[in-house]
Amino acid sequence: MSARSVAAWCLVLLPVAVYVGWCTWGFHRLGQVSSNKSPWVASHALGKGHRLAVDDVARAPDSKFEHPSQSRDRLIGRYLKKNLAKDAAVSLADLAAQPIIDPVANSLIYFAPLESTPELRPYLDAGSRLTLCWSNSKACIPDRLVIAVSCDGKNACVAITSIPVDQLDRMEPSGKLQLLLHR
Amino acid sequence: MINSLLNNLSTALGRVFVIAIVPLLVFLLLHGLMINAVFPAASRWIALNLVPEIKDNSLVTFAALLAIITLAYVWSTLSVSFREALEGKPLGSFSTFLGSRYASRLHKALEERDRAGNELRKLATSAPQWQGALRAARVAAQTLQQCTYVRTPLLASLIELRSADRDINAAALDREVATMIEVMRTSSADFLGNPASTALDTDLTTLRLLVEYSRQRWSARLASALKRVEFDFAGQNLSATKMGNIAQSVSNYAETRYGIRLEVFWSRLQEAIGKNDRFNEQLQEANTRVDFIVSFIWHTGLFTLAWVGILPFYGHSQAMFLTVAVGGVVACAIWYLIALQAYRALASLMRAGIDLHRHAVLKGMGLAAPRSLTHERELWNILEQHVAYGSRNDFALKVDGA
Repeated sequence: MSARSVAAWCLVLLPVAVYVGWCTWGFHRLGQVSSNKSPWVASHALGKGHRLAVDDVARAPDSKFEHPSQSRDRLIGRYLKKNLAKDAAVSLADLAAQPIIDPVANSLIYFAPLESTPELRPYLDAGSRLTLCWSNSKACIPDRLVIAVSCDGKNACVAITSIPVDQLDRMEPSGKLQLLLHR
Repeated sequence: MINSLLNNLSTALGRVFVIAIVPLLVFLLLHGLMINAVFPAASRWIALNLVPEIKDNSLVTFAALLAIITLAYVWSTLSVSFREALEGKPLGSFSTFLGSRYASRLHKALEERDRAGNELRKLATSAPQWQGALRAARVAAQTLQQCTYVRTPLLASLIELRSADRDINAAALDREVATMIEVMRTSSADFLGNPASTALDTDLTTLRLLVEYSRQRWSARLASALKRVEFDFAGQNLSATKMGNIAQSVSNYAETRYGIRLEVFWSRLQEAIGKNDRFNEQLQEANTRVDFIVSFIWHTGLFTLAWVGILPFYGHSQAMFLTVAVGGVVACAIWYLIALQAYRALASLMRAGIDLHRHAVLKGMGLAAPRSLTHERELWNILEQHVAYGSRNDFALKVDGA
């Protein structure tokens, strides 16, 4: 092989070497991210199903390395898969894009729209308790636990709760839904 | 199936546009999946603002569709440039320097061609002589009532080479034929009931079959070497890429066979080919195939480079990074190999197009068909001077050999 040919090969292989070098560095960097502790902690105790807001998380006091994939924006708006104590680390692994709804025996999952009672929205969260009444029904379904409050991007929110089947059968709900929040 | 789908779409939307829009849509989908995985906030924005069902944002959706169509159109106009980039044309004279890395490969192919050609020539002239000499020696030995034949080590090694599917050169066969003739001075191959004579008879048949095997093998090797030298390289003029070499091989073919400079006459040849509907359709189909795959190569390359650049900063998964970094390169390599095959098919059609339609170009220019290849080369040279440089030579006179 002539010197010219060797030089040509070197020139062609140079970008290949740069690519391999970059990939090695990138792979190593991402390895650091996965082994790195989350730089965010819960600013107060948070319940399972809670939809994370900006003031729910605070920067961990000992956090040093923050990868863009660990930014707070990635956490906000997601639902907690488990209860978190104050100062517990909050990472993507603890969160889900949709609320986790565990099946309840002999109950139906009910999505109660908050359109008619938007003023309730700031006070409602997973763990809140609601009484559901319908304008044409005589009785109400009292004291239901809110599993999660789910909102789409347009702020059309629903409170997700479970209602025992026998209560629904007795009530035959009809008319406009009214929600009463328990303190 | 993909071919007929492409053809149907091409008829409806225009070939060039389809070449651009199908790969573009595929890669927009892949980019979308990556954005969804890496930038969830961006994907939420897209879902809110660009999803067609949301009536409020129909203007944004329409703008996005328009942007895709515009992008596809721009991409389609760049298809020739993309192909030329893979041929190494933008590198100019630097392309020749980079092409020098193929020099040893070309040298090896040329050696192989010459060696196979020489062996085949030797076999073509020697085989009938061997056959005649062996027959004469056998006839002369028929009167002998003795045979002391034992298989020579050379014949045994030739049989081994045959079993291993390896080359047998003419010189070795020549030595063995000479040995056999020498043997038949004292031994008969037709001494019935003698085991040595039967072995000699069998080995004479084996030797004849070995000669035939050798001829077929060198013929196949010559064809393969010729294919590489003629269709994968353009003489000693090497390009930076394999695709560039294949592309140049067409110009080289036209130049060396007929003296046609394709850069000057290709548009006129296209016009002539266009009148032959069946051939033109085949050529366009082959061209579409090449452009389509070239488009995929560029999309895959850009996708890989973009995400390999972004993921270390915004990604969170090593597995995803590795998949893109390795998968992208492997996909690019596979596309490139497919593109080379498609380009070889296109180049073959282009060569056929030159062979079959060059006289139609001359006819179209009001010139008579040349009487010989020598005249034809001269004619194309004069035409080139006239068309490319405005020379005032009277080429009609030259055609007549005056």
